[in-house]
Amino acid sequence: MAIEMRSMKAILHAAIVFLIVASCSPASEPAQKTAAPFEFNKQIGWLHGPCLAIAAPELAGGTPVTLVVAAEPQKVQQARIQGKTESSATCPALMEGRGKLNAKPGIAFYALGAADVAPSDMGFGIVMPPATPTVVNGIAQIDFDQDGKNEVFSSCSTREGIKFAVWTGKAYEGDPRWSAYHYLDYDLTPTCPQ
Amino acid sequence: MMPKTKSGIFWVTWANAHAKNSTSVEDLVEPFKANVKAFIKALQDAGAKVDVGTTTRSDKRAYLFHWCWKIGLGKAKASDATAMAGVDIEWDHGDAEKSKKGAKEMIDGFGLAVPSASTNPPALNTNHTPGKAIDMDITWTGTIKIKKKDRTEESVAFMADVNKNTKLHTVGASYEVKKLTTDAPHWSHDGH
Repeated sequence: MAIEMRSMKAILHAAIVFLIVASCSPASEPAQKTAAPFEFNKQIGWLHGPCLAIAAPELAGGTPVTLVVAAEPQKVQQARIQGKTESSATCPALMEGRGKLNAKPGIAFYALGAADVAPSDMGFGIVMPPATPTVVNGIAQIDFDQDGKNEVFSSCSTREGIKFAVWTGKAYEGDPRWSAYHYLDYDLTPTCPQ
Repeated sequence: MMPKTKSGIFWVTWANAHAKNSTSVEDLVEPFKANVKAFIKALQDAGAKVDVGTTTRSDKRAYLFHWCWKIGLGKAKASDATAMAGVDIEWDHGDAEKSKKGAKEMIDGFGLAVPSASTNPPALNTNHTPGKAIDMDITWTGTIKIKKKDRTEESVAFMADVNKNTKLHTVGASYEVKKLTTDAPHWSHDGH
C-alpha cells in the first residue's frame, strides 16, 4: 500500500514537472517575433563634424550609422562607428570650453569612419533605422516607429548652440520625438522659432 | 610697423594662446560678479554642484570667429573685414580663393558650426564680452531648499532640462542672475 502511494506521488510529481517544462518551452512562444520598437533616445544622436554624440555607451566599432546632414537640401549618408573617443581633434563638441558642458552623463562620443562629413557640418546619426531616410523636397523623412507617419529632422541656432530635433509630421509642430542641445561656447544670432 | 600675418591656421593657435575666454567668476564685472557669487554660494550651500564654464569672452576671439566665418563661407569679401587693434591679421591674400581658404582653415580650426540656412556669423558683442553673463552646469539629486536673496527658502526639484526649471530661475532672479531659457548653461544680468 505504501509502495503504491509512493508510485502515485512519483507519477503526479512527474506530471507537474512535465506541465511546467512544457509551458516554458520554446514551442509555447509565438511563431513570429516582432521587431524591437525603435528607441528614439538610444538610436538617434547628433553630430558636429565626423563625431557622433549619442546616449548609447556600448556601440561596437563597425556599427553602421545612417547620417542626415543638416544642409539645404538635407543629405543622407552611410557611415560606420570607428570607436569611442574623447579627442577634441576628432570631436569639435569636445574642444576646450565646450567639452565640459557637452559631455553629459550617459552621452558617448564616437568617431565616424567612411563619412563624407566636413569638420563644420552638423546633423544626425541613426543607429539601426528601420529603413533609409528618403529626401523629399530637401527634407529627409523616415517612419521610425512604423505608425504610418514620417519623422523629419530640424536644426537651428540658439544664442550659444544648436538645437537638434526629430518631429512627427512637420518640424516645430507639437512636441519633438527627440531633441538635443549642442553647446558651442560662442555667441550666435538665434534662428530657432520662439 | 610689423607686417600683418595672413589668415589661416596660425590664428587659431594665436587665439588659443592670446585671446582665450575666461572661466573665472572673478573676471565678471560688478555688480553681476557679486550677484553670481551669492547665487552660486546659495546653490552650493543647498547641496547643488556647480560647474562654471565660460564667464567672459575675448573680443579678439569673437572678431576672428566673426570674420573667418563670413569670408570662409563667401558671405563677405576679405576686403570687407574691419580691423581690430591688437589683431594684426591680413584677411586679404590678394586672391579671392586663397583668402577664402585661409578663412576656412580658421573655421575648421576653431570648430565653428555652420548651421543649415544660417546667414548669421558668430556675434561680435554679447553679454559675455563685458563680463555680464556666465555659463554653468547646475546639478543635484532630488529636491533641495535654496535660499533666495531675501533669505526665504525655495524647494526646487532637479529637472534634466534646466530651461524648464522655473523655480530655479526664480531663485537666480532674486540675485539678479537671470536665465536665458534657450541655452541650458546661460545666465546673465538681463536674461539675454
